[in-house]
Amino acid sequence: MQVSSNNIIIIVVIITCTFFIAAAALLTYVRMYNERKRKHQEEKKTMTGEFEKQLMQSQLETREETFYQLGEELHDNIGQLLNSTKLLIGVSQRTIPNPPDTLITANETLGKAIQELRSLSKSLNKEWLEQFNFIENLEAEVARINSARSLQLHLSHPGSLHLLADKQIILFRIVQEILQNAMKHARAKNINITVKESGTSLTITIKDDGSGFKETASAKGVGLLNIKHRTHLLGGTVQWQSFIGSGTAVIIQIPVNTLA
Amino acid sequence: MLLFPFSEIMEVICLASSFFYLSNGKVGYWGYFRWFMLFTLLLEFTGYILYFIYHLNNHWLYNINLPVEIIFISAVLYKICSPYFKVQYWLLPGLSLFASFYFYESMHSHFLSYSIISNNIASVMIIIICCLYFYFFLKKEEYVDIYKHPPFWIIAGLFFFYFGSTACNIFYTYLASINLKQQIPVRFIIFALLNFILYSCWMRAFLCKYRQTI
Repeated sequence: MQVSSNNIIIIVVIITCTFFIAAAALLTYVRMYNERKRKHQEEKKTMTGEFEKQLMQSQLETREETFYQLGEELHDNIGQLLNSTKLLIGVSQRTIPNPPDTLITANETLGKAIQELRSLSKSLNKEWLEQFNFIENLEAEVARINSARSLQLHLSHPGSLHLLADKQIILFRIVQEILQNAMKHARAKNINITVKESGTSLTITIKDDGSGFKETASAKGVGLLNIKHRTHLLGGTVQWQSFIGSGTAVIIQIPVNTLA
Repeated sequence: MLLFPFSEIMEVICLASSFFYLSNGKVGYWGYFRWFMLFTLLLEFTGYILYFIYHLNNHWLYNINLPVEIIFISAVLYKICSPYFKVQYWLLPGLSLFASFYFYESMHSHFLSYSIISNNIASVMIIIICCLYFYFFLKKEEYVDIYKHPPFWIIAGLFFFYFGSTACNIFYTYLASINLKQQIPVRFIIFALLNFILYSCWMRAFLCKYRQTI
């Protein structure tokens, strides 16, 4: 049986159209499947982020609980022992007609140690932490570091923050860690802390005149990762601007939706 | 009958875009697309002039082009598919088979008729590798945005071209006869459409590559 030219043309056109449709269907399937893969990856990323947040939260809770117990222990046990020792030294001072200078100095040093212990114990107290005020504590921290006279801290702030107490604690711990880094590793002489609250976000800038660091070299450091994780927990971002010999600027931004 | 050189015009546009997008020195092996496009364009124009203006047989010219085209496409497929699967297991037998039939057909016809069996073998090999690419592309866990991924568009263009040309290749002899006797250029029209899709996809790929390198 001979097939006519017209029939061959029709067959070719039909087969070509079918193959076209099949190719287009395959590519559409690839596109749809790829889109599903994207959504799945996004969900996975969100879940991982959420998990990390919860993990960090529980780590912080455990840490604060440990601090609380440590504070109680310091106050009730070591504090009492030191108080008794101070009392005994006082009694000795009164019984000796001419107490030596070393005893008087020891009594004064012990008094200072008890005072320090009380304030440390207070800072670790859970109930006190519930009333936590970031600005007040930062001012106290700045005063404490300035009193050592090894470096100068300058603080400027808006007066108060509209943040929940637990978030203020996390923020305080972040700032503490940054200050520790500036003092220990960068050997800074001056540190400027600026706290700014705008309608949309809270920005804390900590600038030092220390040795600086290579951003790539320290990007994976545990300390910096901790700061990043904690800032992430507050829903914010942290940025380091540092060059060797030119100091470091750390900029923390927390969005307004995390504000109380 | 003189037909509008639609495929050749698409090739000119694709050649221009390849030179525009792939000339910044950071594109690696992608730069070879420029010279392949230039070669293809010169060949197509020569073929067009020989056949439509001088009414001469141009099969020998396309026979010269066939191994160049297949080797270039195989090299591109190797580069693109290597991260996904062992493409050489498909390329080497396919190319060996292609080479054997190509020599047989060329010797048999003294280069005067087009080596259609070799062309069909190469087409099947390319279609299989393209399908495998899509399969492993989807199987890979990481998400890749296809709209910004140049290799995807190269493969998509090749797949459309070779898969769409299956019917024309199967009925090649009939279509050549119809064209000769009744002056109905079915193959020419279908290939114009296939070239349009192929070069559009490739131009998209070149643009994506350009965006990646700037």
